[in-house]
Amino acid sequence: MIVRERRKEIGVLKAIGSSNIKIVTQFISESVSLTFLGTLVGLVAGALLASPIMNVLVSSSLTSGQQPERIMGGGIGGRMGMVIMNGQSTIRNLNAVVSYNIILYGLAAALVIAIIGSAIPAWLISKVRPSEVLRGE
Amino acid sequence: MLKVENLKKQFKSGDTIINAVDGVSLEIEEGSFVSIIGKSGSGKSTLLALLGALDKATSGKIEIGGKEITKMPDRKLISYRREEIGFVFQNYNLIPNISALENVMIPMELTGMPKAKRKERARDLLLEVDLDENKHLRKPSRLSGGEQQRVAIARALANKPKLILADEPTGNLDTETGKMIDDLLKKLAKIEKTTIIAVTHDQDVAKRSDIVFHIKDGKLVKE
Repeated sequence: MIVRERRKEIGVLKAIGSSNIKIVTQFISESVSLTFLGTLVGLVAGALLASPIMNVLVSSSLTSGQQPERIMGGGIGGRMGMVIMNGQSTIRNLNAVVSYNIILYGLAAALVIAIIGSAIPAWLISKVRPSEVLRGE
Repeated sequence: MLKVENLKKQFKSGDTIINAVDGVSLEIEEGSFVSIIGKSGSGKSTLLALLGALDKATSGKIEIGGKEITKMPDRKLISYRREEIGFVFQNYNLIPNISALENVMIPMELTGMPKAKRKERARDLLLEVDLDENKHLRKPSRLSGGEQQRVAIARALANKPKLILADEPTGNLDTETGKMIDDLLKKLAKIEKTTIIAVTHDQDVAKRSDIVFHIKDGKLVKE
């Protein structure tokens, strides 16, 4: 979408002598930079907001006065618990778990999407003659 | 310096073939200020696109400085546009999210010029086109139409091209600003020894040119 919106800019860059490779590289690097920035903002926001949000969700789903049986699990940076009441399981005292693996998988997936999502449209548009791009503005 | 022989460009529209440029031949000396006048749809912008290697001719020959560009492969055409041609568009076509100075630096960046050098040349060029120094770091949206066109002219001059191709350079400007831009182009053609070809429908632009061509239905006539 962003690449399509910047079709005219691609036409101008080609007109003043930019190569297709250079244009595609520029769009990929912009996309990767935005992905890293988004990941950073997402991590900070997630670390700060995950626990308070979960506490609100857990406390609102519990019936007061019941004594739960606790089952523990989790990973780095947090824990989660589960209460079993009257044969039914209810989530209680759930803390955010930030696993390094999950962060890495998420980042890798976002990067792959960012690279493919920017490279393919940029490449397709860069193959068009600049006169067509400028004429169609 | 610029030699065009029997240049043709045809487009297909359904079963009809349109001759946008129909057997154009011309010769232009270095440092000339040339106008090509024609109505909308006469083929003037198509001719300019062919001269600037933005489009491929159906047949014919274009020779600039002894190099035949109609035979060049795409890879060579990219460096030809980068090093030997400067473009000035009616809608300025500046990159919107960077400053005026950075816009002028782009063509030099593409040639691999070191950052300090290209910054210095961009600054000198913006001063040469009379853009106040306090506006160099402004984004295009914060400049008037005349100022944006000055930035576009500075960008066109960045790599000291042999030829500047201007497509209706004053088309979006009021008469007074248009005349200033015109005078500037003419002055720079002399200073930088650059040939300027401007397509226009403005008779006033033509009056100030060294050579005037008229184009009608893709055919060119010298005045």
